[in-house]
Amino acid sequence: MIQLKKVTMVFGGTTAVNALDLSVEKGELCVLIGPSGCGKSTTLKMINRMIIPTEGKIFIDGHDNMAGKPELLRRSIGYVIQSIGLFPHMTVRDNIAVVPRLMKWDRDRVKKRVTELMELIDLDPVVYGEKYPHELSGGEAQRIGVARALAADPPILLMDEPFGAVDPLGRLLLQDEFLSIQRKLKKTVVFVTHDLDEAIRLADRIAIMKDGRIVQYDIPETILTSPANSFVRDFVGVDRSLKKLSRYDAAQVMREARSVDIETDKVSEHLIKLSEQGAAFVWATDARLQLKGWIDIKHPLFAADPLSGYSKIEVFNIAVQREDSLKLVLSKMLGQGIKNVPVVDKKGILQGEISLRDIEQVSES
Amino acid sequence: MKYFKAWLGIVLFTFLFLYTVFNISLWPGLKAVLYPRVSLPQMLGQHLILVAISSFAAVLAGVPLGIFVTRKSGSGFKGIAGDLGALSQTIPPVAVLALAVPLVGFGFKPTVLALFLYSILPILRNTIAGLEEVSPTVKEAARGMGMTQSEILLKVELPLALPVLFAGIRMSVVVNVGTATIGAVVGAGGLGNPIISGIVWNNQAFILEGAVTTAVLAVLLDQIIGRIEQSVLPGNRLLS
Repeated sequence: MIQLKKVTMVFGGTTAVNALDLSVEKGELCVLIGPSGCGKSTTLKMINRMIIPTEGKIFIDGHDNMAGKPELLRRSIGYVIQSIGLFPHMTVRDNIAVVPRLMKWDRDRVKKRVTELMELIDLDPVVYGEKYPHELSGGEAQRIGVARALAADPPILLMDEPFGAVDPLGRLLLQDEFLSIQRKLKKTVVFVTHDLDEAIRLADRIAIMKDGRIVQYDIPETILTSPANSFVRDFVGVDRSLKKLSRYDAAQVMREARSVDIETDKVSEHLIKLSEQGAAFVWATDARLQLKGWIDIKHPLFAADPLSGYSKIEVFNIAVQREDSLKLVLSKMLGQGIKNVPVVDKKGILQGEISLRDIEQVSES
Repeated sequence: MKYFKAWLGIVLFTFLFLYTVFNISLWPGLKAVLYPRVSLPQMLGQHLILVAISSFAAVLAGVPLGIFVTRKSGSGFKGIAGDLGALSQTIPPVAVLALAVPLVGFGFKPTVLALFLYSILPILRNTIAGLEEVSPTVKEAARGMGMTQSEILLKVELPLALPVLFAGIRMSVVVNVGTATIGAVVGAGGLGNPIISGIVWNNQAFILEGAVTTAVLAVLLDQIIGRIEQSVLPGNRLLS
């Protein structure tokens, strides 16, 4: 748990952070967001003593962070900055191993831990282990930045616009990946960003900052539905209900999907039964539930041949993945002009479906 | 394998050079035109010692000084250190010799002093440039991860500054090899001996003996330091 009590930071004549109180519960992801110059980065850097506050105290699990050596404090707090913070003269393995080596872990333990982390961030240790940072894409470098911060298994992570230097699509992937890591590891995270969509997607709580103070500190749903004042309302913008959709994964909203195995002989029988039940369409899969297409049960030639309404689809163009946000699901529906999308896993196995109505219900709730 | 190939040529070339230096007096007829007072291997040895001691001293003084003035505590001295380095290079080595001889006597000492002063600037300047080139983000990351100031210097800043630092050392050694011939005028020996005698006695063969050997030595040392640099810095070579 992190507590900031009446923390003030004055640089020269300007007050960057003004008597700020903030408390982040253990295992929670707190996003600090606000216009540039609002003091969010300064606040983050005071937690691991990169900046020493002019006034006020900061407690980490009840201990004053000014007690003891700053280096020891920092080794117990993971720190992620934009990808250029990787050490260019060290291989990926050596980069990840920095903090464990500072903490004098033995060689085998370091090696095992690095391999473990590379698997966690889904980068093959054999392929990537000996590469240098300049040989990596921005997204890869950033994932290694996260792995490096997690290396000594610190209970707290500080992330300063960690995905800021990555292209928008890559950023979405990194967010999803980080979210799934965070759900597994349950670290206490303070995350600085200026991207509201990112904040809404990731945060357990959002602190909206302005002029060195927190204007509103609440769960994202509350921030979106009841902004504390006009500043927050303007900051959040008019597309609040759309933004809310990025809080949900496809897997959380999807319903069971009706499907038939088109490779069996009994497929026509199944389809006729479904037609009698009043179904309008059904997803078509192979025996392993791999999505292949869909069958229009209301097709005019259905009576003659139940399979005449079968259309193949490009699975990864039409379907969404379990981890995709509802916002992405909605944009896929609008883009493809369809009211139902299938949800698949990474191998293309049908998991469920989401209809436009399901999304409406979420945004109204 | 890559390094083996890189070293193979240079090792062969060095061997050939040393073989020639040691056996040139056995060459039929050549003995008559060679500088008679000191043998070529002996002069080469004197020359190498002059260069080695002065360059080593320049590294020993220039690198720590460069580190010091790029620290927070020493940043106030950066201007003056740069000026002193520049001043020491603008005074010609001959002038240093002339000034130093009355103080420390003839021979080896004034020559080493002149060479030392002459080669400290490139080393100091490149140490400062190399350390200042390290990106602030990288240093911030190192600090944020819990490295102490000395760990940041040893594990991050110096390794990243090494290519530039090495370039400075390489340059000063090469310049030193040529400049060290001046030592002969104050009796320090070395490959300048036959050159000076050749000029005095108008003997082209003596001049060639000293000049060619000096030139080949400079090229060889440059290549050797370059190879050392490459094998010490596997990851650095591709840095932008």
